[in-house]
Amino acid sequence: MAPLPLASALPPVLAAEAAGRPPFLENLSYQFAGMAVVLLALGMICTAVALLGRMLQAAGRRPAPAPTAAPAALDERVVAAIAAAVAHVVRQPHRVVAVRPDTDVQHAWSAEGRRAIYQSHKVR
Amino acid sequence: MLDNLLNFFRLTAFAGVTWQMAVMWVVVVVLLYLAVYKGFEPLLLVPIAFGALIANLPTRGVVNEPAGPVVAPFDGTVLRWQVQVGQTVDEGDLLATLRATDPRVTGEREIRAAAHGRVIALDATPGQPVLAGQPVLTLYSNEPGGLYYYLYRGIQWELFPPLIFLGVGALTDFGPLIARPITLLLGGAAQLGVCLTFLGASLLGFNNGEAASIGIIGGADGPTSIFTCTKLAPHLLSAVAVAAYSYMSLVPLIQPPIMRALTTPQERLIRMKSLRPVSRLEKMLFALLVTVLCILLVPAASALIAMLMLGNFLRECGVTERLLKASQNEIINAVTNFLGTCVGITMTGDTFLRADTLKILGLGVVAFGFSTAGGVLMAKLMNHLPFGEKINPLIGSAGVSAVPMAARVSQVEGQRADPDNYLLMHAMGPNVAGVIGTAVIAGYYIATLAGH
Repeated sequence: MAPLPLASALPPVLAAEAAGRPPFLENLSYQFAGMAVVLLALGMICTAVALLGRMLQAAGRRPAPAPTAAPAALDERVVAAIAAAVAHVVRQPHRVVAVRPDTDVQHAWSAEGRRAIYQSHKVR
Repeated sequence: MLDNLLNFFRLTAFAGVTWQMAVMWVVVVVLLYLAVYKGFEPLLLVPIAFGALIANLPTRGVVNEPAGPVVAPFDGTVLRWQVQVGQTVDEGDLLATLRATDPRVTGEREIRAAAHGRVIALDATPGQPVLAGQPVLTLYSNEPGGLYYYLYRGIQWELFPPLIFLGVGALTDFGPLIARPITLLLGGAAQLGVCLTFLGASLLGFNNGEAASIGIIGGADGPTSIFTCTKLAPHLLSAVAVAAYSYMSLVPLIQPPIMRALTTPQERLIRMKSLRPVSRLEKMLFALLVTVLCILLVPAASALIAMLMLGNFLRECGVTERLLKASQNEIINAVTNFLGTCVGITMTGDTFLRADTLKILGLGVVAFGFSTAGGVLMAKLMNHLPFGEKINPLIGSAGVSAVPMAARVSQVEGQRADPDNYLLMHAMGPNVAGVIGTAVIAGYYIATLAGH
């Protein structure tokens, strides 16, 4: 059932009959305009963010937050735990050559793991 | 005593059950099965299904409107009254007949009582023109409206979707996006499905507002879909919401074939440079930047963008821990609950059991498919440019903003080609960009199509 026409005037874009079904070509150009608006908006943000990143780097302040804590001497048990984890994951013969502290503050993988655990329907 | 029992049975609701209700019960059971046992976005589908169950039972005190002013639904002239002052009316009783001023609307329209009450005033004169929204008579009753009559304001007044976006922004890390801003364009290109589905819906006979609401399903963004649908086609809300949330959980099934069809094996092997670390300052400035730019460009999406970025700023500034925790947990969880049930409440038999619903469910798949294609093709296009680093086109499909599912699909497909290729974080960039992209296209449609 078609909705009752509104009392106010139809918007200037897509001027068509009251049911609002415009001819195909007009609709197509309307969609092109829509995509253009989206890409324009995101392009503007993209440019601004890229400039911002470059400005902050040029201003001498490195974008990376400098890890101030000097890495403490690595506990033997931590090395053992890491070696055990590696042995479990890497099935082929291998040798742990070096162990370095993680300076990436983002901890992207642990965040991803946390997200997977906290998924809605798996609450136990 | 028998009289008392018989009286009681007359008050039960068994007689109020219709066949449409019974069919909807089956639909409810199917949705609950999919949500509970098959993991189909249970956070939303369970409340939606439950709301639908409530909507399809002859309830009292749940969805009823309270008595109050009865307004003209359109510009017109009251022809004659069917009631007098002081008369008690029941729900559904004829109150007056109206003729529209608009010559395209022929015949007389009836105004019926939405609630039980007593006519206490006749506010218009027969023969005199009235405007849409002008009270024509007033009913009084001391019975309040139902629970969901009031809760539904959250949808009708566009309160719930922006509040959920507050939580979404608080939960989202825009770091991968800021580290590689070009992926914003992938999020934008993934709106292709939205636009093409609009065209498809128009061809299938839907009007502009309806086509826009159906197209927005391709944005894979629940709150934005509900926000748009409420503004442009509120009668399609339940079908659009069910389609949107069902297909979101089908992303791992819908996307891979399209991704594989549109990429060459060599393209799938592309490795991307590690993301540079992004500072807290950059993330805060990003939130402010997006707020200002998007609101200036598409003010119709202000509510969504503002709340998204407020939530994100709360997260990134690091000094509003309590507000952040509330946004990430209590607020988003409570509002999701209410939003879901309110959407479900609109799923009555007569609005849902129509051919339109099947068309919408079909168009939904089309929307997701073309959005996936749009993102992948844009990534391929960007690779053909002489500048910039090469992007693995598999992350383009993550522009479909089902966060983080679409990014995981990119990860899985990338590992299928090369087990040591970790695309997840790279795919998070377009994934969260898609949220912004969908809000922008929604703003475009609302700005250009909302007639008021």
